[in-house]
Amino acid sequence: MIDPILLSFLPLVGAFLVPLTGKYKPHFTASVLFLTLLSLVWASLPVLRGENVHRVYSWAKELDLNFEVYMDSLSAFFSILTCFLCLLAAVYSARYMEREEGLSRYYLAYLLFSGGMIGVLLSGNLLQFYLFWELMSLTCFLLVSQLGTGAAHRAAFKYFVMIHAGALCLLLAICTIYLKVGELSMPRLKTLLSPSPGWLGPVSLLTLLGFGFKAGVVPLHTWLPEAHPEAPTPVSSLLSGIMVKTGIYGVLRFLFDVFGLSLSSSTLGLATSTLGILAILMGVHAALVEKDIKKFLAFSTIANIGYIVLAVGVGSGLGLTAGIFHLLNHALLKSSLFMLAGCVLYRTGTRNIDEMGGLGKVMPVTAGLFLIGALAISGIPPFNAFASKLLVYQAALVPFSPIYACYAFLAIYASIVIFVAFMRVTHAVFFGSIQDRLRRVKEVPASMLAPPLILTTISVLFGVLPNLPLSFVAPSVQSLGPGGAFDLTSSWLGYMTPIGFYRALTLSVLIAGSFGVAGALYLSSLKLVPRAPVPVKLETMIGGEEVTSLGRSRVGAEPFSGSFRNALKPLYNIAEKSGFDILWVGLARGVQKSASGIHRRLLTAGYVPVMLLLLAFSVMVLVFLVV
Amino acid sequence: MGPEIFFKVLVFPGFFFAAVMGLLYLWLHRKLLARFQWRVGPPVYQTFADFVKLFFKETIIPAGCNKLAFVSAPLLALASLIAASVLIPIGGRGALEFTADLIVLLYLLTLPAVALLIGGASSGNPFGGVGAGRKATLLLSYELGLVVSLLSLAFGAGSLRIGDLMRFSERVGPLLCLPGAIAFLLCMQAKLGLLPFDIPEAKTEIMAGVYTEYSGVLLGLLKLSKAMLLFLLPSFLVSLFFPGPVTGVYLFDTLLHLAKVAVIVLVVSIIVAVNPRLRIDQALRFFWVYVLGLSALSFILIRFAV
Repeated sequence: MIDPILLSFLPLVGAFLVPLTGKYKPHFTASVLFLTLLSLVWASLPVLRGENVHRVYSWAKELDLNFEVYMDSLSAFFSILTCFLCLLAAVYSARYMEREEGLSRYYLAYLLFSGGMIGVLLSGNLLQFYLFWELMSLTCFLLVSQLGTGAAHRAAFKYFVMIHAGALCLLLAICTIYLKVGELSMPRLKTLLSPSPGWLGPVSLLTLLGFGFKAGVVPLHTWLPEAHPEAPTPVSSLLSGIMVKTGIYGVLRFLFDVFGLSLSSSTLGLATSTLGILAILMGVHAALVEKDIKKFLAFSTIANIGYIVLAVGVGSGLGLTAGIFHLLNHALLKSSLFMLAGCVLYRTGTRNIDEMGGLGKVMPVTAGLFLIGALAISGIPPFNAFASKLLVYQAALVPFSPIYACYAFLAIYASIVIFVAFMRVTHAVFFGSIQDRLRRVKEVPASMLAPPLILTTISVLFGVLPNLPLSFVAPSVQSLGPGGAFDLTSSWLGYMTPIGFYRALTLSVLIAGSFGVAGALYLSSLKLVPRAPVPVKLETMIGGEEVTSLGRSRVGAEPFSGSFRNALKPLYNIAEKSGFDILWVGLARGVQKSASGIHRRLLTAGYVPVMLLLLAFSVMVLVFLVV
Repeated sequence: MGPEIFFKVLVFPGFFFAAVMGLLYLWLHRKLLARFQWRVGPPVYQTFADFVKLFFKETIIPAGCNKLAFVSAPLLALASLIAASVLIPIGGRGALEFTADLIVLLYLLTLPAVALLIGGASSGNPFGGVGAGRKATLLLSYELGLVVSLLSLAFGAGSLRIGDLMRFSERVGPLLCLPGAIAFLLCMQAKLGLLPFDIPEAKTEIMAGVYTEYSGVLLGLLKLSKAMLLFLLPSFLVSLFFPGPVTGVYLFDTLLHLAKVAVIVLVVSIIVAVNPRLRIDQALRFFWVYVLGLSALSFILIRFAV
């Protein structure tokens, strides 16, 4: 019988069959991913019982290289989430992409991308991890540049350069480990590296840097707000939903699991948390003034990654639980929000929120789901991201050091900023009077609404019953073995931490019940009060003037952020001149300029092969240097 | 639990009690304000009569709004306050205290603002939109000060449980709590939408801001939640910052609590009486400089005094 865990690599095989499937490409892709999801769940059954799956297949005997598949509760959790989101985004792609060219390339890259991510998550070997990491990054480059516009190519190029700066750090770290220990297998390294040797410090820094690029941690985030809007929407939903999280997974896997480091009450932990809070503040304030809806969501992703990094930097069991729980919630919500933004883009053809408005009337389901997602992701109770953000705040408060306390204060404040930012976008896109140009817009097809609907339903469910996700998150945290006791108890009613508690179910029932009471008051008044015999259709009240000019006097996003922006003008001015993008503007641009001569000459040979060649060459140089 | 929970949520200290107390304190506020201005002021049943009148008026839902959001916003505002009313301790303990801690309560008291924002934005009215925008900016201005002043207590007490916080402030005494309490009071003024921070509903500029399109029972529910907020927020302030002295006799403690709330309402009324309305950017600066400074002072005091 075939091993279910090998079936999890199905997308890698399936990808090459895509060109043969004619017009059934989306169906084929979705079915491959569905089978993969099933086999992942099947393969993770022993993990649920507490047995880690570890398979070693001989790959290159002469080089003593093995293909190792390793699945513990952390990778099971991540890979199932990944595959689930890939499946939903594939379903969404079917209608979204049907008007585009080059679908063979798209679905091929899509399956390879999904397979690459799952491969990263199931790797039990450092070299293999790196290879899948490259597969993921390269196919992602293809997907970002899929739409073929100049902006898409620039964004993809920036992504490519920045991610490979990170990948090189990672490769250097892996090479160092191999040279020092002579071992690549993760489970065996775990025993070899304890007690941790002195050279592990710089190596940890290198890995943090490498994964930081991927996760979009400030100041390495600048590819994120450019790649997200330019990529096709299903891809952006995957980028934010899960790909940037592979960076977090890498940190958890390498630092906590393989290296056996503990971040709690260490300088490295404090530095990580500081980067987290910087990312939060940067992300929310940039999102507050952004006019491109997908870019806005990308900034929100940066902020949410900040929450995760902040919690992981605290390093306690509570912090890790908070981080992974928030990661899950953010993955569900942000995928959904990107898809909904894509629905708007699909129907209106613009990403600029100033050109929309009043779409709630013509796209009610999209608007409703977006509003719920916006409330949920800003951390409004009783939704799921509130449950996880509350854990983040508490994890930051528990050390009772003034610095971490200030981080907690700022994190709560930032949640309100992102709430305002989301309300601003919701108002500008869905509320207010509708523009004439958009009056004939229709709701999107059902296959584009079903994935966000499923994600939103799961999110709401997780908000009411946080025990459900926590019972999956907790084993992953325990498998990482953070220092200190595991200090979170959860039951069906909610959870309890050393300093507080949150009975999500009770609170939800309380709010729902009270809502019912208020609703009863409203309905009874409607029953009791006689209506006018002929219903009067009353237009908007603007003080006695004709309402025909309403389209022009539409209130957009400005009142939500104008004054705030003015107050922080100096900072926003620097940010707009891309002053915070030092890395790219200063370094990479210079490299790009000096290389543009070679670049132009080689462009005729095709973009990607050249890049691959250059990459292979630089890797070789690097390996020689290290050896 | 059992049937008594319905009593707690619906009658005491939940909906009915909070609504009646809210309308009474609203009357007190209006009466005090009238006396400050050499007017006679309304009779005690006025605020109740206002609500009943609105309840029996026709509710008009304008054509330009998003009906679901427009109707559910006032209901959500009221619902969150009913939930908050059973969590905020009165006379030493909250009815369903075990449900949630400080941060959850902070968010529950922010939900009315969230609901109003949605309501104003979804009404389709330009004034509603501008009002929602101003409310959002105000929210951004006071939130950090509010968070710091509240969580400084939690930092001192080493816990987020309301009961622990009350014991902590009783132990350290009212003097140490004063800067935080003043910061909270000023944020409260903005949360209540009262002068000098009634910018989101500035009558002379944007009609009624977020309230512009509301009528009938929906407006009544919004006014009712505003009245309940006038009871619940001072109640929260009193419980957290000035819980003492606790005698243990529930009735006495409750009456003392209500008297302290009345004092806070008096202070609120004085602030309303002597201040003109600020511009939104002035309010922003005020909160970011003075209120945040005060709460930072309270954080430092608690950090070094404990």
